[in-house]
Amino acid sequence: MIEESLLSERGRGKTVGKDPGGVRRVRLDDFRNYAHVVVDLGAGFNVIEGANAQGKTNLLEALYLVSTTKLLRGSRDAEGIRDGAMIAEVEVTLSSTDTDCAMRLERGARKRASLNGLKLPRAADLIGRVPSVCVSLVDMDVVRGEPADRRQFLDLELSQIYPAYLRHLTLYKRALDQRNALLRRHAETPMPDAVFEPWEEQLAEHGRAIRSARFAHVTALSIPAEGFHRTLAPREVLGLRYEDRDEDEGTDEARIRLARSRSEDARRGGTSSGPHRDDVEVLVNGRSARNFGSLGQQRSALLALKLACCRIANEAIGSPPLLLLDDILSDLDADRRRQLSELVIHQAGQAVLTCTEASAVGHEILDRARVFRVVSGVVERT
Amino acid sequence: MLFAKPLADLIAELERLPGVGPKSAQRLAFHLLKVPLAQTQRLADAIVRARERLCFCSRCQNVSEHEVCEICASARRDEHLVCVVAEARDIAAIERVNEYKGLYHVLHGLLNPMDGVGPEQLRIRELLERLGPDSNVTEVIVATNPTIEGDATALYLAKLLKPLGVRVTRLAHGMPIGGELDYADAATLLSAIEYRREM
Repeated sequence: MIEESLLSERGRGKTVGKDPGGVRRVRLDDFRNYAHVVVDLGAGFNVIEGANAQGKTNLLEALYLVSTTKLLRGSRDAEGIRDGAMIAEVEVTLSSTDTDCAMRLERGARKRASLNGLKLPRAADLIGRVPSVCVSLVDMDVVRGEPADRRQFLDLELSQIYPAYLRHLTLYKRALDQRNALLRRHAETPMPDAVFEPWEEQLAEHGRAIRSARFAHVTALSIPAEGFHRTLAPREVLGLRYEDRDEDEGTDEARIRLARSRSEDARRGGTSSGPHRDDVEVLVNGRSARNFGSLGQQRSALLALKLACCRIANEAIGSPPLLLLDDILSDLDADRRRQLSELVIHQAGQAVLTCTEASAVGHEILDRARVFRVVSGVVERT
Repeated sequence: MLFAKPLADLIAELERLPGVGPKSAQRLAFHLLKVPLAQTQRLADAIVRARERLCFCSRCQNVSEHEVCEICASARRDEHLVCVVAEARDIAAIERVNEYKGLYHVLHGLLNPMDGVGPEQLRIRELLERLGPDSNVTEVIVATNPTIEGDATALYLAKLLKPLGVRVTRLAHGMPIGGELDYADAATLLSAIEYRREM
């Protein structure tokens, strides 16, 4: 069913290279609808079943929070705190090193990350400690949403693998805000070149690093994504292309581009070109999946893309990332579910899946899974 | 009314101070009500005296009791070196190390267009005046913080100063001495790798 080349070494059931790692335990305190809960996860598949609104996704989200420092669906940090509580905390214990990674949300204060109980200078310093790939229905925006959704997807994946990327991204955004502030003043009273130059120099430098990392990542993703997609939708060909409007630009060219566009940008009220305007084109049979794809096609494209992320992250960091699947398998037909299950089994090391009925996951996964049942904020192993 | 008017006024004034929120302001105010009157008088006098007696050094813009500060007036200082810092408190940090023997220049801020700070809001003109034709300065060390604003200010200064024939350098950034690799943030570690040195 699955091409030999798509099977990673881990997929053969042996542990190769680095310690497989993974999350041994997750503890939630006053997070979403959970007062206090400790869950010991299995090294392989973990299925969380429960009726709607019992807290399945919240458990998945807790893992996502420690991995990315963010809540799902762009929720504000305070939304993660249980009603009536002031502070929410999620702590994840890694199996290989016994390291505790924790995130703490507090009303009226900044979120904080800690490592073995020591507070990290910035929450973002936790990113990359618990690498994950998350697939939920809102992730469909990666395929059918706006360019910003796709940039965010790439940025999150790259930040987890390469801390340097996150740094370039943070500095780029800050320099961009500063240049935009200058542009607004420039529109009223023209400012000398020398005032723009230090910001544009930093935009050029960090922008080039961002673009080359994104370009390389999209190129790397496209090959496994195409293979996975062929398994999920045999008659269709998936393509990925990084859309960069200033192709092959070096830092000097970027500086010139920014310098030339000053008055035009001042008129528009913002910086009109650069990596913050780029996009990734997702193509099915050569046509944009965003505009022409059916819902089924878009979902296959998304799954292929996310599985490719697992593969690439595995290659980059030496062990597969934690795979979080939020209610993805349940409404697929039996055939597709089996194909997807096989791909997931071969790509993921550790996975956490949510569903309303464990049986909907299919025996391929269920046979090797640890199953938990969630009823209004209480988790029980079944 | 929650508090008697003089108390409410005191809390309101304290709350205007940087880093003091409503709760701290209340705590400080109630504390001041309890201490001996002479102590509050000393505090009030110290504030007014500091304001009356202190000015900015006409050369380095540091906070000073005299027109020229002690560091600029000292004959033991190396006048070939000028270390540019964002705030006067940064001088204290470097002086504590007791190794640097050059002079200083305080910018009183960093370039920050979002907060409306451009070159004209900083003491950059004063720095240029110090580097005029009869200056002895051969090197300017830019010791601004390694933030995007600190870097932009350093870039701006480098471009401005290099044509004057002075050497422009920037403080190194990397691992803290005695720090542990595992707890270092990614940015610090990356820069430590980038600026590693031969052994």
